[in-house]
Amino acid sequence: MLGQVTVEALTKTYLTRQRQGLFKSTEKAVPALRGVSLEIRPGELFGLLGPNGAGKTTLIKCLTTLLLPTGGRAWINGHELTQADNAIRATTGCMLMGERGLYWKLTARENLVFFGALYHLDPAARRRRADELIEQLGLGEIADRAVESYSSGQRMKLAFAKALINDAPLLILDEPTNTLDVPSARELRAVVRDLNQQGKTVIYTTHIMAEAETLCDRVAIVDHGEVLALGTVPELKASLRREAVVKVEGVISTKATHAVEQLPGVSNVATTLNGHTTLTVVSQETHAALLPRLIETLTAHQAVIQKIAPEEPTLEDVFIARTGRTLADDTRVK
Amino acid sequence: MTSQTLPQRLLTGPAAFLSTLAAMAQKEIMIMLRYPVEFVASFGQVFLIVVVLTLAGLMFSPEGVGGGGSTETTGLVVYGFILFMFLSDTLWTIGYNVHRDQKQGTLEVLYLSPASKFANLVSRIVVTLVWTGLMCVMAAFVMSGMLGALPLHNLALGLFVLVMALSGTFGVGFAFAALTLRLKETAQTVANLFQFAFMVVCAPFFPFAALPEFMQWVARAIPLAYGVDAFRSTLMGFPAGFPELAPIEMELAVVTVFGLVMPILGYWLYRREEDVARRKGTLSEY
Ligand SMILES: Nc1ncnc2c1ncn2[C@@H]1O[C@H](COP(=O)(O)OP(=O)(O)OP(=O)(O)O)[C@@H](O)[C@H]1O
Ligand SMILES: [Mg+2]
Repeated sequence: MLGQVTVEALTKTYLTRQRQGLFKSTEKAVPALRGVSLEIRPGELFGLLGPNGAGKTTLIKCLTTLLLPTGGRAWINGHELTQADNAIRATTGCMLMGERGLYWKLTARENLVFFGALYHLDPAARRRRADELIEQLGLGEIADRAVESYSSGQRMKLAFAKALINDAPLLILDEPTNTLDVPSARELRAVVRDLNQQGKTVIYTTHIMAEAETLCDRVAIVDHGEVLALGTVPELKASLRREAVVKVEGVISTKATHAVEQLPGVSNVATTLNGHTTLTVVSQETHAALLPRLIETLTAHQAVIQKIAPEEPTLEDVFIARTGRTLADDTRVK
Repeated sequence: MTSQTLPQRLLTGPAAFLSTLAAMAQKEIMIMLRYPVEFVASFGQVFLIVVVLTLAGLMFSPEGVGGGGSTETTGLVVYGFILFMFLSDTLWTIGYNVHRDQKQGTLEVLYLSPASKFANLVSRIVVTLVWTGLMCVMAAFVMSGMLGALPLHNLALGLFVLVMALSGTFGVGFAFAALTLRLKETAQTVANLFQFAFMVVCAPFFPFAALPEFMQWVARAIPLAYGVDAFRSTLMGFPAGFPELAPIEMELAVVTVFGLVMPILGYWLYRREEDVARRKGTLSEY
């Protein structure tokens, strides 16, 4: 049987105009998806994890019929993409672009009732559903005020409520906790988990490690338009078990870092700068083999080691091992 | 499959069209009411236009200000004005509205829903058209009150011409909405230019005879000009010299073809531009 969502070798290349002076411009191809294949099972909470520009939004826009893919095929809720687009739209709830997709002159209630109508709910059902969602997401106090008077977090919540209006079996959420504060983000994740437990399939896009790690059943790590790794969080970590991960903190020059990269067995070195340098070194060798060599190389290059410790691999290490870079520090705080 | 056991509804055909039309129109009215000043101002604006044109009509009348006026020139101005109100609304409002949604980012969200795409487009004009209709009836009363009774012949044929001219204008409106998807902000400038050209070449406020010879030939190349000519000539009961551009049978044929073909062509153009935007990812750009 097909999964809830099946994606086969999906590609998307944008053609953009490169300006060269006043009148000259040339077309440039920007490959955003390079053959993505996925299968998302019914009832699964599926995470798409990747840095800025990885292609997450592009993939989601293709799956929700907003973008025409360049190549490949996909089936959503049993309907083939581009063949039965309206059936896909009717059976999918999406949150894209956060707060922009709302009518700011209308109230939350009016927005929800309006979108209910677009999803063909009859008038009584629209109002009932709007009331339910306002209650469920704690929007009661602001529900009858114009959206333009909301804080951006409140707008995000409303955009999330809008995605639930048609009670679809598949929810597609593009960075839904963006701009939410810590408690609100936690609250929203709890609602997502609840909905998932009630049987909804969820595709959840994020660039926040912890979010993917705590929330998702399976995660696809995406970068440069490709799926680099896919599995449950424990599976992804286990794929690194045979590799050693060591974290080094201190004053470490670029030259020292390059020397570490040259060590036998080292597959990846990621650098974070926040006052001092933190290196995350991933190696094919055991900790026992890696540690002495690492210390030796660093001291030979006048590095000051403040802390050095072998680590259990985290999802972030998996990410580093597959992409060769970290997610920026500030994106990890939530 | 899960999707079949859940209560998603997917309407098709006329039911889908009407439900979307109603929802969009209702939303449009709610938003209009959130701008009370603009609402009142647009009312006032139409009223002022009526007054100006009435005065202009008085000037046209052979007996001069205060006289009975010729009902012929009165009819020419009043019916031209009515048609102009309907047409200029229809021509630009759809594109303007689509552009607003594009700027807000709501165009993508509307696209995401299974709502009828055609109703979505048509709905952008329904409220304004009803509004304009009311204004026109009022304007006709005011003007005939000030200028004397209006000639009113061949009402059924006149309505037919109005409907066909409107239908064709819907098509031009769709095409203009398509242009908006492509040109974005620039399309509004293009609209202003065309609006002015329309006021001159389609001669809604004066007889075509008032145009220089070569402009009359330009008018003959524009289907909408035949609509204007046929509409007022019909209602005035074909006085001598009317219709001006061609025999009435030919004008009716042009207007009918325009009314039947243009909406299909315009909608096809819009859907094509929409697909171009889906390929480029520009549905929500502005
Ligand atoms: N409309 C467009 N035209 C041209 N290129 C685009 C367009 N939209 C996206 N891209 C490019 O496609 C690539 C993928 O973008 P996408 O928005 O899918 O990334 P993302 O994973 O969602 O990133 P983020 O975390 O920043 O939201 C980027 O390189 C981006 O510049
Ligand atoms: Mg994105």
